Amino acid sequence: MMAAKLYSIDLSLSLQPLHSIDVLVAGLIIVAAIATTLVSSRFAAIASLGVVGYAMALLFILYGAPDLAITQLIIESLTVVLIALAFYHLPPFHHRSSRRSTIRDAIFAGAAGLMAGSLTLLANQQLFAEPVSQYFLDHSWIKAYGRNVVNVILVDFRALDTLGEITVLGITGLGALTLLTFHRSHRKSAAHLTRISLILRTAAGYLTPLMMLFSMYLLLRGHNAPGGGFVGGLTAAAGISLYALAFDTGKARRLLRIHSITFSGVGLLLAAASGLFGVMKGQPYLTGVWRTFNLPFFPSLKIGTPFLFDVGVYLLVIGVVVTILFSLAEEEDA
Amino acid sequence: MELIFAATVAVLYAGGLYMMLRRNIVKFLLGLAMLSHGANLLIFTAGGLTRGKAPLIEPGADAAAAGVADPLPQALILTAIVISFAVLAFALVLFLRAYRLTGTDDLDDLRSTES
Repeated sequence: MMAAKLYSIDLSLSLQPLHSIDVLVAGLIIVAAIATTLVSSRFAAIASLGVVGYAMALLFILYGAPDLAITQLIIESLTVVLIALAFYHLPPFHHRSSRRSTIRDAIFAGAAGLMAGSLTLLANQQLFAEPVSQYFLDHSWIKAYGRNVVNVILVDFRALDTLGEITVLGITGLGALTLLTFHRSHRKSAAHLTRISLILRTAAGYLTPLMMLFSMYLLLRGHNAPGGGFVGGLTAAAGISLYALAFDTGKARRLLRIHSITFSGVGLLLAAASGLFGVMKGQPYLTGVWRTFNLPFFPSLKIGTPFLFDVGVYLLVIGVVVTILFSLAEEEDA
Repeated sequence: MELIFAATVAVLYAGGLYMMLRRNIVKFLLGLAMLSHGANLLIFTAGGLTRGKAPLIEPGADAAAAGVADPLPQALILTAIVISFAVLAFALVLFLRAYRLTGTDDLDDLRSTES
């Protein structure tokens, strides 16, 4: 235990015990992060950055955040695909900086890192006010009919924030689409196919439908168990990307039937429109409205506007991720 | 355990920022990705660490059991993960376009607006 007094902030630390597996995972992140920074090969850098991401997912699992873990896992796979696609068009690493500027940058980055680390520790130890989280934990089921509190915060309690965030996502997709000029390559397909492994092509034929199905399962269970619109959309986008990598983007586009950016437009519209049901009942925008349906096989099925909102998030995430990956994959060599 | 997490955040920030100070576009992008990992872990640790108890309400219960992990930082990080992916993708596309137009991947050469 350390104890000191600094600017009236009590610096005595109350720490949790060390667990060997957590220390191992954190150590893995540290080693992989240093490796990413120092290696001179681009693909070694991508691989070690992937290790950082997957180890982060492990930490999330260990510390009671299954939603974050599954999202991080899928995002990490998509990031590797994204970076590999883009690096194909970019030149390899060059060592340009002089020794002096390297040392200067290292000192600056080290100091900034030290500051971020101390900030983390300080913020972890201070509690200035009672966290608002207890309200969410107590009212998530009673008021919003959801057992997964993280998802309920996203689609119900703080839905307006999420609406802002998915708008940013939609704009990113549009921006990427307009920045990359389109060349629908027809000449690529025949020659392209022979270069891709038969195993990948055969597996993609089975895996893509399975991943689409699983993504819908994640979306549907999201309100009560780990899952939800974000991770569901990412899983679906990963499935479509796998198909595009195994065959080609033209074939994947035909599979989707409509342009991928349309998905994000429809999704954003759906999410924004789901808030109007509350307004019609004289309540604030995005207030959840629930109705019970008596359908065959599903007696007393409870469906609410937060579910519509989550479907909007799902469609938007698919649209944005697929649009960006397709645009990059279709970019021709200059 | 918090000390180890803080050290991990420090390394991720230092490594990410160091890479973002390189002149190579590709290094900059990898640094951006690493910095967003650091930021996520910072929020996660700052919100308090609870080992092993996810913020889920047990079937049959009306409220979450005492001592589950704080759901609020998790909700923040969940969107941050997805947004940082989109930001990385957008930066990649933007730099790819800039590289095509200017023919250089050296960030120091991209200082002036005339080319």
